[in-house]
Amino acid sequence: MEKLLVLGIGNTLLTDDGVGVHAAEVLWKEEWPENVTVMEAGTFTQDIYALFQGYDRLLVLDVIHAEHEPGTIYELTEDDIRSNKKQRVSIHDIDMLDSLRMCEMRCGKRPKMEIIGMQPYDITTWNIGLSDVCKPKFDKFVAHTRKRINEIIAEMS
Amino acid sequence: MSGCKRNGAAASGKTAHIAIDPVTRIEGHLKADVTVENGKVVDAKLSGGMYRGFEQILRGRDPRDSSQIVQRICGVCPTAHATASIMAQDAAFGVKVTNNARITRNLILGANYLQSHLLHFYHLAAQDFVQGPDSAPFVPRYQKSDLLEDRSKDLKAVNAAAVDQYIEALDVRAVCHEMVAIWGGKMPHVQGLVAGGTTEMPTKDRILEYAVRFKKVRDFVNNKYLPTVYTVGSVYPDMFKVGQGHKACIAYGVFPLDNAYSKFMMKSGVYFDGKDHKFDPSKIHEDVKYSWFEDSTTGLHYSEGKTIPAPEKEGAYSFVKAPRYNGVACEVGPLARMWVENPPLSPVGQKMLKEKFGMDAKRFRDLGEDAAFSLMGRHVARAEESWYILDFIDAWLKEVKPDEETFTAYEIPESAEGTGFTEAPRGALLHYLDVKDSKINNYQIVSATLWNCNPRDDKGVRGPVEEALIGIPVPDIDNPVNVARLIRAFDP
Repeated sequence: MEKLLVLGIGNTLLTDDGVGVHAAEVLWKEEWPENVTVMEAGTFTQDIYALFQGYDRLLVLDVIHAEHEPGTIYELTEDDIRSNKKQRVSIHDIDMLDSLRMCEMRCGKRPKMEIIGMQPYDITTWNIGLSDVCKPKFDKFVAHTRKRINEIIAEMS
Repeated sequence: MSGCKRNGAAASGKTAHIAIDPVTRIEGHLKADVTVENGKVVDAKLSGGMYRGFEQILRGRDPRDSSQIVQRICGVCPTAHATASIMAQDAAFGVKVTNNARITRNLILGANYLQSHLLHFYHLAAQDFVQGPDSAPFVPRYQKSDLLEDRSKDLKAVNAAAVDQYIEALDVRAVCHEMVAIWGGKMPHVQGLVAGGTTEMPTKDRILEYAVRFKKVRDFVNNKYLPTVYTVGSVYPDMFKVGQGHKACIAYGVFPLDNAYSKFMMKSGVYFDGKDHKFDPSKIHEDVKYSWFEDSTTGLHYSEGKTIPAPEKEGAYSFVKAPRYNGVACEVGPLARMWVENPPLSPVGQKMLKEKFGMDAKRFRDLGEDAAFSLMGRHVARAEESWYILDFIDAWLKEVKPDEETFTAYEIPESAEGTGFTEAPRGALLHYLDVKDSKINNYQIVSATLWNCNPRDDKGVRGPVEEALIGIPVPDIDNPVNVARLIRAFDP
């Protein structure tokens, strides 16, 4: 049976930057089949690849800056990220693609990744919780993710 | 893990200015501006462009929260920040920890040291010397990177072994994280380190869990990491001759061996002007003339320290303050600790130094000042320290008492102050805590990177890494690989 990892990442101390983690915290309270794991990885960087081991699919929840209205929800595939050189930036020079590659080197295989992201309004204020601009969009973000998880479950079976 | 990006080199006659921004494969953000003349660095400026503001965040909070919040300063060595913070709290609250707490704390920090040193060599610095596959995370890199196989085609096997170890080291580091988590709860950002001791008591099972994992790490350090550092070093004998800098260093003492904190695995001490000096915390002050902080806050002792940013300040070029000891710019880190402690070298080290360099070295200082204070000397110091700690961890595992108390209760006083001195894997670290109305009134952090990567001080003297950059060979301004090598040797 194929397995899916749903992974919220971001810094919950920086307002909207925590949206992926907050979404994971909602989703892991819900009932999922045993081949679905929901987890949050905060700002874990160099060693995040270790979490991917044994999964066939990876759904990452994070903020994405793509210059639309704050609260906009995006879906990205690995190819979307690869084709855009500018996206190969991360605060520790290790981005998700590098981590997938490390997982592959380490375990011989790696999951197929996709990302659901939200355009943030504020990622610099020290505060736990979303901005007033993004807060109303949060339920939609979670619902969107829930729908996608169910689609992936169907694809895997 | 991209290679360094060059923001542009402006060549005018024989002088070229190179800006590397950001310097990659380090912990955080750093920009290096160097001036090259006749193939050598003649001037350097290091700029930390990120304002952190942790000292402001902590103000007004419950002092016990500090050990959780400060761990977010560094994802590689949160345990060191937690250790400094809880030691500052111990001092402020007047609490004496039990023997068992001291040893458990050493075991948590020790496992993190091994993880950090392996991370630094294999996953951050080794790519300056070893040719990995042509895919991420090994690319992009400089066109002419002066790697092992560029120096000799005979080194294919050495290179291949180092790449295999890169992958193996990922595993070993995961094991180190597990060792931290046994008593720390999780890694990064442990919950097990608290004022008064630790939250988890060692049990027979937990000690065994730690010991089993430790054996794997021990074997890797002995059989792979240590020999590989010397083998790589032997291909770069020129790197033992560059990057000396001020030849001044400071260590606060780490891994206490008694409860009076009078004996340490790595003792405290200061070295400058070719002489050893006793460490006296009152001689530390921080200059800010070239830092983006209010001029009125310059020259202060950390206990009087203020953090008032002035990002528009004329002439300033960094968010790093410039700490000085007795007015001297001192470097910190494994080299500083090894130089101050001067422990015996590993059998592997002694053998390889003899075979490859014709050196008869029994203890660290036998390397001599010039080779020790060098680009490659800093890598050797880190590897030797990783070996040196192994027997201590073994001894602590025997010394720690199962099911014996690791926590001492305390009251938070209304007003008090305390300083925690420790060493992060990357160097000397102090946290100063001032409590008023049982809340944090002032919190000051002088971290390792502050000591190493600081800008000029009020007298115009360069910081340690800036000074160590002087004389670094840059034969080709399009490939300033040695500049990145030197900066990374400090593990910033």
